[in-house]
Amino acid sequence: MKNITDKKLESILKNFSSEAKPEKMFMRSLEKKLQKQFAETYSQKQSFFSRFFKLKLQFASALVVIFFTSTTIYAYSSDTVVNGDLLYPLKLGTEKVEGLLAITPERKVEYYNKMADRRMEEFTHLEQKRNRIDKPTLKEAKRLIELSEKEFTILEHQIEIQSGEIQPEIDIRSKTEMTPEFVAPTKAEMRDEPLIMQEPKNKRIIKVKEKIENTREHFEEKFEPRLEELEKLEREMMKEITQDLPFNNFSPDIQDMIDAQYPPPQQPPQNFKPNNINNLKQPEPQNSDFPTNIQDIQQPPPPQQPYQPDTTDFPIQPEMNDSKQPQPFKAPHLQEQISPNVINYDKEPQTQPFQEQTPQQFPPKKHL
Amino acid sequence: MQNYDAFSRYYKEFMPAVYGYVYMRTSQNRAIAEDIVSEIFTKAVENFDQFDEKKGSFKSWIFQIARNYLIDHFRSKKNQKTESLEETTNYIKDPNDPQKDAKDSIEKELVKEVINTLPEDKKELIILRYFSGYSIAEIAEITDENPNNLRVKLHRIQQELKRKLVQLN
Repeated sequence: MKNITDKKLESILKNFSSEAKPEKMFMRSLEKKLQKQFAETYSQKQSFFSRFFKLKLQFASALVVIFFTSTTIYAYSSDTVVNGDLLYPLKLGTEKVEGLLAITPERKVEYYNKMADRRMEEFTHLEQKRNRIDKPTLKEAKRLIELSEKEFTILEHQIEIQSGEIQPEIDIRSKTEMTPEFVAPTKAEMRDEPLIMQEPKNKRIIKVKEKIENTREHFEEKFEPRLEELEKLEREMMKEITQDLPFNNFSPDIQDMIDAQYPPPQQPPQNFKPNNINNLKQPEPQNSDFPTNIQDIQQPPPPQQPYQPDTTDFPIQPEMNDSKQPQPFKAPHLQEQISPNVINYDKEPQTQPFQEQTPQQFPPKKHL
Repeated sequence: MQNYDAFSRYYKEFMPAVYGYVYMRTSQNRAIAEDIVSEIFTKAVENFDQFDEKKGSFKSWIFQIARNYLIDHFRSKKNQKTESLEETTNYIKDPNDPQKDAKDSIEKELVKEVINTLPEDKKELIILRYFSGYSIAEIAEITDENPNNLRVKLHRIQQELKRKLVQLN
């Protein structure tokens, strides 16, 4: 191999490929092994992925629920979410749901009180942190305080009814067959207590009342002057605006508002020239009796017909008078009884002296 | 679900080439070559879902797996070092291989011995080119090299082989 050429070397090298071939037995056994392994690997992988895809929808929905719940909780509990924020409608919606769940008057009172506090906090936050004076928030706080007070009066009334201190407005006993002589005594009467408005004895009610009073005091002390000031400012601004305007043609809403605040003068000035064609009055017709509308023309009255009694309701007496005028039938034995009630216009009315009627004296109430 | 038919088709087509490559790189030991080939194809099965025909051919993909596996194998066995000619000759003599005995010829044995003395990178190129029957472009894809550089490299390796064969004589 002293003079080996490139071609010879290449042919020797290429011949090696035939030598390095695998045995057929090995190939087949390896193929079987790989087939088995292939099935195992991809059945496991497939099941994992299929499980993942099945869980994917549930996972996504769970994520959405978690996101929505956390956002709602944040919006509801945060004092920094105020009017004008993106989450504020969500906060109000959650509060409304809370309001729907408050069924009893006591709960309602607490709810309105809580909401009023929240509105006041929001107003303070807006003013201090964002330099914004939000009148609607303050107005809403006032409305909620009024609502809580209203609900509290209902609650008080209910408690008084329950404790028997006062009678309910609608007495169900009137619908029963009880005699008017018998009136069941109230619990207060049974205890020989005077029928006066008493303070609610329930401690929780006292607490609620205290809360309402505190909220009201807080509002009156801190926020009511602000609200009045704002309203005054608004009024002044409106006045300035309306004075400066060169015309008086407003939209109906604004016109109503202006009319309510500043009633228009009764008579216009003599040299008044309306600058709007709508303000011009329609000329009145010279003859006011003359109907301008066809519906106003009165129909002539129908011609009067002679009176004819309806004979279907009672029989006509067989012996008629000469005048042949129909007369109602009266049984002879009932004439005396009926006659006092029948008004006879031919006779002069008998005047009787006036007797003052005394109210019916009921026997005293009997206790059970 | 991955299609086994596709894998089976690839297996039948490329398994002999992979075997030849591994056989030559493991110094012509059939037992070792079979073990390594079965390991390589097991890995291929496990990662077959990652194979994308658009990114490259199966041929280059499976050879990359084989190549990486052999690198790890040699690293673990510490066989990367170029062995001496005598050691290699002793190593490749396999009395249990009747096929090898049948095809024994002086020239072939000498060439084999010389190839085994080559460094691993050069040896790999020779095996891929002549034992596995890959084109220059395919080898360039597997080894991630420039085809022109590869052509030059192969030519130089041939010259080196020639020189060593002459020296051996």
